[in-house]
Amino acid sequence: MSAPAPGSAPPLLEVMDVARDYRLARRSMLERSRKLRVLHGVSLKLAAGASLGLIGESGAGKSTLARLVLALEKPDLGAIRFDGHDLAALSRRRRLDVRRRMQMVFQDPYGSLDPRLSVARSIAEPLVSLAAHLGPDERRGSVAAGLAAVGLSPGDGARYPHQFSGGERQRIAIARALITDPDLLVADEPVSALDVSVRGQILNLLMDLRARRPISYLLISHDLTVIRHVTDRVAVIYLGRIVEEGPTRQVLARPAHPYTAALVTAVPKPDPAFRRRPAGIAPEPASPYFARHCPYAARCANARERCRSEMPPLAGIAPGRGVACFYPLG
Amino acid sequence: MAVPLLEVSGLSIAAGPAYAPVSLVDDVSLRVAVGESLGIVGESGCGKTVTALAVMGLLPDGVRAVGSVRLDGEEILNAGDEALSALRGRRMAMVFQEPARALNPLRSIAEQIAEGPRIHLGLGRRAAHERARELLENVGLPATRFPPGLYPHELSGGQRQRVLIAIALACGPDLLIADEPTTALDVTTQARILDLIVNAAHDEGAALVMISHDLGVIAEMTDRMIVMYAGAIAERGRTADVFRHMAHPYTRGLFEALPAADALAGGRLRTIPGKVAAPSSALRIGCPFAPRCRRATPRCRASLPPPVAVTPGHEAMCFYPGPQ
Repeated sequence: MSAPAPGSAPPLLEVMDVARDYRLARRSMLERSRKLRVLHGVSLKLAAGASLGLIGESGAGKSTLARLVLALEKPDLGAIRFDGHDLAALSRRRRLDVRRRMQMVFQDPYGSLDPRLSVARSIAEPLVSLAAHLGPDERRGSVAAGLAAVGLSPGDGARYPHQFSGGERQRIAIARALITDPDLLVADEPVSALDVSVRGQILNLLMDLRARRPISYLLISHDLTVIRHVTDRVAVIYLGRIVEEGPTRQVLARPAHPYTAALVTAVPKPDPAFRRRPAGIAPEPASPYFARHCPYAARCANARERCRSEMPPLAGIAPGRGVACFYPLG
Repeated sequence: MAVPLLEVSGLSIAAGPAYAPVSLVDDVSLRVAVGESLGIVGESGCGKTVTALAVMGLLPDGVRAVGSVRLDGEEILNAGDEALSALRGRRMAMVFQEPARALNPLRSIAEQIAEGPRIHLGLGRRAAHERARELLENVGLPATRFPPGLYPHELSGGQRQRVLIAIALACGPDLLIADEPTTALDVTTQARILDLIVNAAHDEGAALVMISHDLGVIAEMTDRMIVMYAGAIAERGRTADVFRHMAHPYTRGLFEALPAADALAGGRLRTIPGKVAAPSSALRIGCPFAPRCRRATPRCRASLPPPVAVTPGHEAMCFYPGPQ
């Protein structure tokens, strides 16, 4: 493992040219097993204390990328480094340390908590394996502090998940994720299952936590308003490839990739005077394959000959902004 | 005014045992005219779906409705199964939220679409399948790529939702109720489904009831809207009027809870304190929103606010309606 050059801190998280294949079920015994490539040469960097959003349609590979980052799966090609350490080559001790430093919040606050465990036990659970040296008193102290940090009362620890609303359960899940004092929080659609009036409470909580202590977020959402609100940078992923990345507000205000533009214009606005452009009944994306040309060409209104014969690389168009398109929007 | 296509008056719905009924919907009235679209907005448990189910005659066992639901002047609330079966599919149809559960996994999509025309329109097998092909084409599933013999599991969520829309439209209903039809879908798919519903309702001259928690969808899709909270109507009016002069604190709270496109990133979102009221058997006194309301006074907790006119045709059930 090479030490970082002095003076330039390595990013907290570095995804380097990662590909991931899933094996498909065979349709007959005679058939050769087939593979589906769900991520193609994905590279990302996340600085300490920064927050990065991932947007794209279902099936684009967002959640697969999250699972790779959390070392729940291994990439087939490429590497992922966390604080300079390759996740695929960690010693046992280092692996525990890395697990402690990255945590996750899931979409479904109903399915992500064990109904048979009290809230305090659920919150304390990561400590059992990741901070086994803590005594019961220290553990209790951490749980109480965790409950307070997410706006729940100390007495809530003795209650069970079914006694809480969706928003409160998501607070519990966040408290559990923060109990090990992680440097990276991966949140997969953290508010999409919640009612509108409590979404704001959870988003504000995520912002407050970041203001209080240095923590990086990798936030996955198909809700562009959430991404715009919480993240500094965004990567747009289409059929397993990053097609655009850059500062969130720039990318969403002036998308350069036609796909990003389609995502942005598809969102209905809460303004009866606004008229969204009709989307047309374009076909849904075909399943991913080893494309030799732009994967979006089939759905793209601007596609030309070159798009159907060559693969556009992710190229810089401004400082910190990249787009994988031969004919980016102005 | 002509007889509205759908007229719901004094509809109250309750579940649970008769000695301790849990109120789900409390005295809801609404009307929808031919060619018109009505939006119903609200959060989980506000009674919007159960209101639609009562109109369709699809309330689960043990859930009771009183009041009146008239379709074209004819009373249909608690009408017998036979009468309702004759109406459902032919005169009124509903698109449900979860396309995965609303389709029969054991029958091909064409069979499921053809069922309505065969039963209600008396079409023969061949004619009904021809109609199914045509409907699939109209909802963007052309037979060249989506053979009618496909089964639901072979389709994506968005494709299944289109099949449901094709089923709902198969007999040219007068009333189409769409209950969160795009909640489970990606934004690009959502945009296509919304376009499809609007065009289909327009082409068939159907009235549309659009149920959603998404103010963007309501703003885009509807002429008039109703905001529901805890089983009761909080505000109603022309959609343009309600968005221009949100008068009920709950409507305003819902709107302000959305991160605005031009808001400073990282700024704080306004939130509605507390949590959504759960249905209960407790006797309701006062405004259901009072426990979460910044404007609430003792008066709000003591008596139910009457409808107050904001502009003609736009009213809010609030003692202190207004922008602040």
